[in-house]
Amino acid sequence: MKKLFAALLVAVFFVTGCDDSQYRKAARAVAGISSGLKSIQDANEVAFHAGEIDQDSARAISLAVADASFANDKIVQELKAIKKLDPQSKAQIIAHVTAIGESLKQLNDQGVLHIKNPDAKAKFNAAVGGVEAALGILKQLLEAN
Amino acid sequence: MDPNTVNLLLQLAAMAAKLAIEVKQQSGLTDEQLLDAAEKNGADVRAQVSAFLETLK
Repeated sequence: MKKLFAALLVAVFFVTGCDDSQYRKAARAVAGISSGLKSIQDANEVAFHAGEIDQDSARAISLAVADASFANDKIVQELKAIKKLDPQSKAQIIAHVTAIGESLKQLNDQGVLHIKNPDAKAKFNAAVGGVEAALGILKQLLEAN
Repeated sequence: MDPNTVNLLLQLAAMAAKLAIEVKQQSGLTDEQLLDAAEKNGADVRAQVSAFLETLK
């Protein structure tokens, strides 16, 4: 289900921005990741205050959000320093994309394993799916020639 | 279809609609404005995480 959703978001992203340059698509992807991480943290705090997850899980999710946000910010700074995606800049960005992917894995594990309420879990999964979709777009750009 | 699946589908549809609106709004921004927005959102979420972690102590 989440893979279908991620594919749908990627399609929306590309259809609405099919004339954009690789650089602009990357800028939109990092903007999408940053707003998605905010949604994940919002869902985390709501779930914690509703008693859906314990303190340790809420902390772990928050730390993973912060890690992903730091890595995304590194990509933002890279993009600000360059004006075009070339092989050298792509190589520098890949490490940060990998770091975001690792944080997302932790977020998935925490959300799937610890959030019991179906509504809270659905919100959390939707937010993580949004970030995964944006990250998928970034990966495609980095792999493209 | 069981209620949990329906619930997840509704959440995903809402998220897709929200993203489509955001992408549409972003189309009016320059690349620099997009990156500035990403930077500001990132700083905001990290501040939010710090404040939340303080409440967990």
